[in-house]
Amino acid sequence: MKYPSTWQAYWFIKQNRIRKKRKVRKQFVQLNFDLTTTIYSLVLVGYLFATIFIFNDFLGQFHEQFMFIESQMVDRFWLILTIVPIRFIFKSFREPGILITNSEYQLAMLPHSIKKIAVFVMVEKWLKSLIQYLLIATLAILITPIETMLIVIYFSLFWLMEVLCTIPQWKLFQSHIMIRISLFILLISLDIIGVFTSQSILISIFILMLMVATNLIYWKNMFMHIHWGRVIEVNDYMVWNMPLISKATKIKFKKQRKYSIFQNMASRRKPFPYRDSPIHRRLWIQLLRENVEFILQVIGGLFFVILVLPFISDLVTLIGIAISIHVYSVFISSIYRERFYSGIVQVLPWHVGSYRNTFTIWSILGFSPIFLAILIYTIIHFSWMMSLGFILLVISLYVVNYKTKMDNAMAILDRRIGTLTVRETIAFCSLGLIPLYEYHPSISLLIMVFIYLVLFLFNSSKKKNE
Amino acid sequence: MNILDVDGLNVQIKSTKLLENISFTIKKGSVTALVGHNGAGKSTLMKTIMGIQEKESGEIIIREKYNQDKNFLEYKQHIAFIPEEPLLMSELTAMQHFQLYGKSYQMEEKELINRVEKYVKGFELEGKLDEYPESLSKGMRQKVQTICAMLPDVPLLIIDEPFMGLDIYAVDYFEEILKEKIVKGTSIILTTHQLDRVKDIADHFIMLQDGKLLHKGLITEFETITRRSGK
Repeated sequence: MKYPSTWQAYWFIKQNRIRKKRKVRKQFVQLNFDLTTTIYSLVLVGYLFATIFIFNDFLGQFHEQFMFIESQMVDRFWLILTIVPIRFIFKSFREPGILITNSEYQLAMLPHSIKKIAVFVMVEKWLKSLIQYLLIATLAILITPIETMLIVIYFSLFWLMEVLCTIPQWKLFQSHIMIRISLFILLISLDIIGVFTSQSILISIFILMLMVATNLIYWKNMFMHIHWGRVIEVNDYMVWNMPLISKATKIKFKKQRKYSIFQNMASRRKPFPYRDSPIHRRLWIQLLRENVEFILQVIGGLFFVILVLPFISDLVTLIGIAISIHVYSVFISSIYRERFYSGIVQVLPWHVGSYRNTFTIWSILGFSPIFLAILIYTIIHFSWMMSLGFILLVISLYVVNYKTKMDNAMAILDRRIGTLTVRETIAFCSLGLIPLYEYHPSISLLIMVFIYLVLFLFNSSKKKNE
Repeated sequence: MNILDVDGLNVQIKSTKLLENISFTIKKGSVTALVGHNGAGKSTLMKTIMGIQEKESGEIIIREKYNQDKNFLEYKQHIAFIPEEPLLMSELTAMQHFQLYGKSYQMEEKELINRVEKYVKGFELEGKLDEYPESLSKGMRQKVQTICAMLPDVPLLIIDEPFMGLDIYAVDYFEEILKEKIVKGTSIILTTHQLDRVKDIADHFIMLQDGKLLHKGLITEFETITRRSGK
């Protein structure tokens, strides 16, 4: 009996997917750019690149920093080797790692083996990442003074890890969340032990062997106990979610969140006590869980920025803290607004005040890592009394900015105002008090009190008018 | 009293016009059927009235008082919507959805429970209250979504394809409760491909074609128009 070619069927799907995506992108480009502007923009970008990187030796100024990075790359090679797999464990919380979408799955309903299709998908993924790493490595070799061999070794390591971690990530994605969390903690603990005992080489060899063993063990039963619905849902989202295009067309590609690890708990199925707060709390948890990766990226990013900036200069750190408060309050108010534009809530009447009350605890929780980073910096940088004043200033500014952004978000939901108001401008400018505190702490605190008074009067007059 | 005033409504995405200069009013207790081919703009019009779809220009006012652009939060309190595809959340059971609707429309708990009991019995959903949407069949999900919108007493009900996915008994029951609502003064806008089904309920029609309002009038005039235009 002659079997149909799986490769041809797979390639047919791939070609049509590429065509469809190309068509969507083409429409997007035609709608947003015209040929003359694009040509001029390309010439401008080319000119800027040539000026900065080729004629001006811009990167030459950072020679010392590159040398520092190079020495770290040599010294920390084994440690980095143990850190790379953690990235894939982290990814397994959200992504299956093998891009089997609904189309590939449907193909397996026909006389084609899912394993064969998975092999094609994996090989394609490895080839793509190889090309990406080659391009980045070439660029790094061309524009940085870091030793070529070192760059080659590192990018080969990254690629090898990409290959070795594909199957573990796939299996971890299917496993219980506690397994993933335990493994995540275990690897981090091993890394810490490795650093403190100077045994990173041993740890990295152990992790490498563990990777190889996992691949060998799971290769045969890769497709046992697979949550296909979840795999397809996430992969469809990854393939068809085109952020720039959905932003321009205002059409969101949303994941159909059908699965929750808590759903089977009997207590979750009970009717709510008939009050706003328990109902809204559940809705917030659902929204936050859907966006957990994005939220962690933003909060984690701000946390690390505040930890790293002191190595540059104190002024830069203080400006960084001010910007972090601004970014966080913008971010948190946009998450708040997002609740009303997704799912069933969009067609319901909105009691925005009540939703806001139940959201406050989440906004405080989200700010605490950022606040912790600020607290560490404050204790190291300022004297005891100055620290107290600075923390008071930071909290006050956070409250002012958060409150202003949330009030505006509520007004926007009621279609009463545009996106920028006088109050918002005052709140934003007040963040300048953070760098000012370094030089004039008492003036800074006095202005803060004054701003509080102004905003308080503004609020009470607004309430009277309402 | 006008329950809904739509005046000079234009909706467009980039350069594509989805709705062009749509104007009509809906009186208290009146039922208007939105008719037109696929892509005529029926669902877009419903979404725009709901405030889900952004409009380019025009005014939408409920009860001659609540302007969509000026008091959106109050405006929303006066409409309930049944979408063509259920919008249920996978994190909430059927009962929890009813509670969410009850709280959103500020219903008393006792009243909510009474209505839930009545509709759940009518739609034969007993024993399914603690189920999540994914463990319900498509028809059951549609029933849950329908009950949600039937719970509050609002002046305007917007229904996109009211009978889609419902079995014959559910359709009959749904018709029955719609008639109850109409008697109480609720106005309804609905889209449907089963015109025969709504002829007994609807008293007016609005015909859309390519985003433009082609005809509007009494439902009794509708057949004459379709015969004349050969559609």
